[in-house]
Amino acid sequence: MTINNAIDNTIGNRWLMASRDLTSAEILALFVTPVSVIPGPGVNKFIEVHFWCVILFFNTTPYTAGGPLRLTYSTSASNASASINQGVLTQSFNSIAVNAILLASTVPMANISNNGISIKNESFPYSDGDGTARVLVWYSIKDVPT
Amino acid sequence: MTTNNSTDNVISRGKYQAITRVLTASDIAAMMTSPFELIPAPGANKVIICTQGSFQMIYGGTPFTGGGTIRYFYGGTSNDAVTGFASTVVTASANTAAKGNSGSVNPANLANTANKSVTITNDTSAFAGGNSKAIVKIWYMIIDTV
Repeated sequence: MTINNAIDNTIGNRWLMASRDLTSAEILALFVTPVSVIPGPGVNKFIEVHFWCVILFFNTTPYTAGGPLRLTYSTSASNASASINQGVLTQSFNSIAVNAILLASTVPMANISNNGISIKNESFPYSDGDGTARVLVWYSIKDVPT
Repeated sequence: MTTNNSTDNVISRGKYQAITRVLTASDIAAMMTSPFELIPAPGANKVIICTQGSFQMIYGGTPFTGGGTIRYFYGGTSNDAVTGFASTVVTASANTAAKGNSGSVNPANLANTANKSVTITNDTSAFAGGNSKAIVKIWYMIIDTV
């Protein structure tokens, strides 16, 4: 075996990254009003999420309640990622969480074709908090198979 | 971080890459008390986010005993960078492999992860007696935290 201590920086070169900062008002409303992170990629194309990250910038009051954070395809609401533990937003300090688990579920192509990506939270609305958050998503745009 | 709410098609804020390290039998035996550095600290206001880590044991003829769960930690903390896996991958009398990922890692205090290296270590007790080496690979990206 010829593998030795080495860095491989050739992977991921064709990936894209989206960054979206969430205000406190957007976080508090996230359960009922998902926030767009990536626009639709165009006709006969779809977005594949590779992994994503949420960073909380704590202010003075922690969020309570809420539920897991998840990326969805914007108009169909089909899941685009596995969820991130809501604990990333309910801490009383700056915190970070990453999820690189790919979805194993089957989603109809019609639900994801030319569909953007949004972030929402599940279960219950967040309440009380006043921090902001940054959402980072690494993804590819692919052609719909014909 | 200077650009928000944007897509970045050159991944200018961090290149997704992988690093491979070869652990000798001595490194494996010592890694509980002397965690083995896989990725050096990235510098102020930067954090390494990991998506997965693999561990491939090249069996040398004499198995290790003892040990504990293999962990990928942010240096000097007990914050997981990716999930760990059972010690049996090291104590087996055969070539073995295992992989951890970021999917179920709990949200971490940003202060415990920013400008920290990523190391590999193990819980419970030191591995002893074996003569195998291991190839460790970890996939990661360095992002800004401000």
